[in-house]
Amino acid sequence: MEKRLICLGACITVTAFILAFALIYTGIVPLAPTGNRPLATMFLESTFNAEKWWIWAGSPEVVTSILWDYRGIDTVYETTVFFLAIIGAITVVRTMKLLPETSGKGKGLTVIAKTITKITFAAIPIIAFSIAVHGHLTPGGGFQAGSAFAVAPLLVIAALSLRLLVERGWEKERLLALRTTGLILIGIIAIIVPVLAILRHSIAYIMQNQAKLWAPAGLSAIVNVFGIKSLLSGTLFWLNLSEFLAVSAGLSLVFVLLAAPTKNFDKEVKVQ
Amino acid sequence: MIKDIVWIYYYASLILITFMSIYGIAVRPNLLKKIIMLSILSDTANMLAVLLGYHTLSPKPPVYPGGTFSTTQFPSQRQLSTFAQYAVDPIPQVLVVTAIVIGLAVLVFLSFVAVLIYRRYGTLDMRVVSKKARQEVK
Amino acid sequence: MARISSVIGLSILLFILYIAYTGAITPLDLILGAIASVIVASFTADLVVEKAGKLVSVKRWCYTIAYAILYLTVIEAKAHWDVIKRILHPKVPVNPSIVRIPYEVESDYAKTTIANSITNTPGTVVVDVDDKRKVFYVHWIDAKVVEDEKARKEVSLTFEKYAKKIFD
Repeated sequence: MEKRLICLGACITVTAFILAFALIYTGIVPLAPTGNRPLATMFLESTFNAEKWWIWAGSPEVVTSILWDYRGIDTVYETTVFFLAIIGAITVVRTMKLLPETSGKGKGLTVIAKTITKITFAAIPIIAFSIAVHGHLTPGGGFQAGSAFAVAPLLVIAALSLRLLVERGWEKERLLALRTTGLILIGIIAIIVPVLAILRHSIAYIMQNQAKLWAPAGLSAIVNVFGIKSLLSGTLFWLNLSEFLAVSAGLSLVFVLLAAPTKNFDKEVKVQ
Repeated sequence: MIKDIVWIYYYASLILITFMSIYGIAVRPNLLKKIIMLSILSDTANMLAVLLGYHTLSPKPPVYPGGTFSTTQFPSQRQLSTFAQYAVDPIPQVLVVTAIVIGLAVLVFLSFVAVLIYRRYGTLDMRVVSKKARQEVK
Repeated sequence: MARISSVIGLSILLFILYIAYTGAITPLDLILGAIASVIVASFTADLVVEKAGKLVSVKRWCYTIAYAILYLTVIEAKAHWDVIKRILHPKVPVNPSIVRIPYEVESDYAKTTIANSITNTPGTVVVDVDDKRKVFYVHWIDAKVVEDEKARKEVSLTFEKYAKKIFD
């Protein structure tokens, strides 16, 4: 048995090296390239280029620009797929109660872990919010911020208890409502530029951010907020904020559902 | 020469992890291990995509530096072309962000399916599960 | 009233964290940070803040700063130097054992401060806490004494003195 495994491992390793050689020397993957491809250079040069205003995105963050502007509809569908996965997950556990009737008698973790978890429970949302609102300026964005936010309920479930989280209002229905709100906000922002364009007897695309030569409508990159000129990059700021709401609520919902005790599952089976 | 060896090592190790995760998905009987291996497989594919966007000319992140909320001066053409020369390829990173979300969706759904299977059959060993399922059909 | 003051105190701390993490002080950052920290503080204040009066006490903050300076410079340097000597010494003179160290503080934050101070200095690690008997179980790289009170004097008396003044 062991000999077989060792043989298999050796074969796989040799095959991997041969494949790597083949990929490199047939030119399919580059070997230590020293420059960008033309497409990458095009994106990097035009994203924050105010002189080429008809193809710019108004944001110094190239990744977010491509994600929410150049390939915006793709990202909307991706968010929808994630939403459908959560809907499927809820369908599996739809009739289940989240909490057992009696509270547990377990001792739990030590006072050190509990205190530190309480502090991080307050600190993580602030950091996640900062990542979300600076998504169009620095690396990060709605999805990354939502993933960071969802660590907070996960830590509380692990170190304190699920009961504490549910009693503080992290219920299934409320989280799902927040998740849906986020998705609806993304939908509204997607059609806000076309609606504005129609009101002004002009045309625009769905998910359009900045004005184009042939579709001269768009939210301006620099906006006056309370009299302060701020770089919000048109729709990118709002899309990041909505995605933050959607992903953080969705992931928290998944963690809360996965942490529900299996005893409740067994009861459901007997009832059916 | 040494650079070549290092890059071959990068690609070979990624291909090796791919093989190993496919082995895990195919051979391990535990459903949870299969799911873990699937997530490792998707992470390896993402890693490969990000590596394709890398270049060795003192790479910088694809973010124009110094952007804050009160930035109102836009960079000149020359600054932008210098930036475009040194920043890494942003397109694989975008595709990877999308792929990570889709992978997460798949992971969430599969873990709830695993919960469902455990609830129905009382085990996650796929050999036992398939045997029990076959008996039910008969 | 206590709730409002604890929310205000916590939101100031969270606002400082937001600005430190963001690394930019633009007007919009200040507005967004203030809004977010007030919202987060109003949701988490009852969990995080034990007593609002302690949070706004100037005396406690002075002790915190004094303790931070003392701990991060003198105590850490001493402990590092001790462990470096032990590692580089050809004979590796270690005498490891787990000792019991009693404490006399009441609040959770004080206990956590003492435990984390002990763990963060190289050479000593808190392994477990017993809340009923009020002792830490500490793994010590060079156990000079194993009796409870003497070990306490060696390991945690300074930490406890400050933790009591800051949090109790």
